[in-house]
Amino acid sequence: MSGLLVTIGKRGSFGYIAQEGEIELFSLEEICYYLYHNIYRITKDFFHTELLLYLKEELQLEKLVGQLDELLKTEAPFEDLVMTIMRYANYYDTEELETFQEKLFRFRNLSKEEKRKLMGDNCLQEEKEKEAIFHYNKALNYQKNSSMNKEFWGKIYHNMGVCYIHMLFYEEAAKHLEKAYQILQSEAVAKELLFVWYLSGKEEKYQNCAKGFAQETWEAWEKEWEEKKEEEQALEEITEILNSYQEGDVGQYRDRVKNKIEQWKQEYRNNML
Amino acid sequence: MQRKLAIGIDIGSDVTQVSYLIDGMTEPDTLEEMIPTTLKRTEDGTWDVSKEGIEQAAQFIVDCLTYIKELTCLEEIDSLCITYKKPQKEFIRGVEEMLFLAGIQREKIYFESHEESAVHFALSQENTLWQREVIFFELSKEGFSYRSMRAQRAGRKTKIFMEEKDCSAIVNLSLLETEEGKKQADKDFLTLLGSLFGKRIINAVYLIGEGFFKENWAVASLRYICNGRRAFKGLNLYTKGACYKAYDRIEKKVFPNFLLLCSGRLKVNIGVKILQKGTEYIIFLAKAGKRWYEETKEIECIVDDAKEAEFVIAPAYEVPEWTEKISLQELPYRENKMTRIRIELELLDENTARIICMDLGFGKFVKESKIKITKEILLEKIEEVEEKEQGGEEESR
Repeated sequence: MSGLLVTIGKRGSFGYIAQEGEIELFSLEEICYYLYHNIYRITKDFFHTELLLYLKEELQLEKLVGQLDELLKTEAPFEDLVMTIMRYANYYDTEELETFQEKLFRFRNLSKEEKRKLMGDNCLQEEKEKEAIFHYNKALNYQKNSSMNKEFWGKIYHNMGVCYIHMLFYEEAAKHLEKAYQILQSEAVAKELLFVWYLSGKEEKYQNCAKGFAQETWEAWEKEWEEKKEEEQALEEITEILNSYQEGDVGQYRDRVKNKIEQWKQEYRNNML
Repeated sequence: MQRKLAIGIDIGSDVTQVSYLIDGMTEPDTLEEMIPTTLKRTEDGTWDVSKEGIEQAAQFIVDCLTYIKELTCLEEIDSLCITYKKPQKEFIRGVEEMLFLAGIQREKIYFESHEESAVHFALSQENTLWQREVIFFELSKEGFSYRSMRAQRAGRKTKIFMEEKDCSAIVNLSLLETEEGKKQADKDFLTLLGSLFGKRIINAVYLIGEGFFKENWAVASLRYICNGRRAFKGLNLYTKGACYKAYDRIEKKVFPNFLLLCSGRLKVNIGVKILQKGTEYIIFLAKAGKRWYEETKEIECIVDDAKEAEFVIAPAYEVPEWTEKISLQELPYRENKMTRIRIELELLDENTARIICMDLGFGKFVKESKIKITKEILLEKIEEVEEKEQGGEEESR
């Protein structure tokens, strides 16, 4: 169902600084959005006295603060605090809240290492690689006494490798992807490993790694990566054009769209000849 | 216990009248003094709203108050109602500010139109004098007008409908200068009365203005009016009406039970359709019966996959409600629910509303653009009325 969702409470004249200065939140809806997308990283500490004060004084949500206060006094679980805020707001519909609640309760029943992996995965998704590596390392600390299977640890190594690729630390990325490959024996991981050496420009290491595959296989991968590079460049340009529209610079947006269309037309004409 | 003092001031185009009401009095007392109105006017006849004009108006009101012997200082006023022909937003705001600086608290000052004062006067009389219909005729230098006031019970409130017609083409003061003109005026007025009154049940007829006092011209017309109806002549109806209103604002006893749908008041409810937990609701931004120049409202919403904002215009009289849509396509394209908008409603006059939808972004997650979508909405359905009228003509043929 589409429409306008009426907001609850006021919009703050200043923001509430969440999770050690990570972001400023100015409204109940933004708090909900933040909780929804970062739920694996947030702890009970989020419901600090300062948050309650901000909700009461700045957003004028006295009733909600009353409810949270009661829950904190009775040492209610973290999930209850989160859901109280989410239900009070008019940001997520009933279906979205049910899915979110399921996710929240499933998380509660996970082992320590599973929780850490999920937290890491969430950070990776949000492109917070450094934080993701922190959580993956924490999970690896539990490896000795863990009942989790090998595949679980292989996935952690793989995801750490991906984090390092994003951070352009190719040696570290290769080290973790190699470990992941040893456990998972997956062609997809091997492809990523080869890709790391391809990106790093270290020819010798690339050749050594490529030896493990048939020539036609890695040649096809190379072709694919080249095409991807071109696509990404084009995508970057389109994103830039869209950004100028989002920033309200409609004049610049129109000019750039016009130029881009002209360029495509010219390219099409050239192809026709 | 301290006495309560309510004052009504009628600023007429030529003279200003003052009435007051103190606890224990059964009706307002109007001062004998007819104070010449010395307010500055602009070319179009409205009060001057420049700084100088406002200061002069406020000083004039303070001067008028000095005529009340019972009043020793402005702080003693418990309620003051100022009435004049057509309230202007800028004039009210400016004069209110100046009167506040002079020592009268803002919440004790109230402005209303002559039409509202007439209603307040009529409603302050015993209910047998207004429960069906009341007619006001006003004959002055400014013309000859007819106003009908109808009361209709609607739940806990009683709706008061006003209808106004300018009849200056039929009778005017210049016509009363000759004997022949007077006879003609009486004859034309009688014809007008016949066509207006018909078989309607009218509780009372008020004859206002110097035109009904100057000369005894409406002989046959008055005989017709007084036949089965109660008629009253008066020069101080507006000042008394304003005074009744001022007194009622202290006690808040009678008038809050009425919904006034007269000039200066909004005749429609204006709402916006919103979603709450998957259910559609309407939030009212302005309500019928409120003074249009006091109504401004804003709400904030999150755009949830919506291409337009839908507004509901619901008249307080027997006309079906309709919707007006404002396209939101101009807003920047973003991930769903990542756009917060502020919807502002401002009334430009009693029949025109301006709605502004402003992009606020989504905090630090999405930067706001400077995009504002503005639309003016007509609060009466003129086209449909015309269509119906045309349709009616065709049928009668």
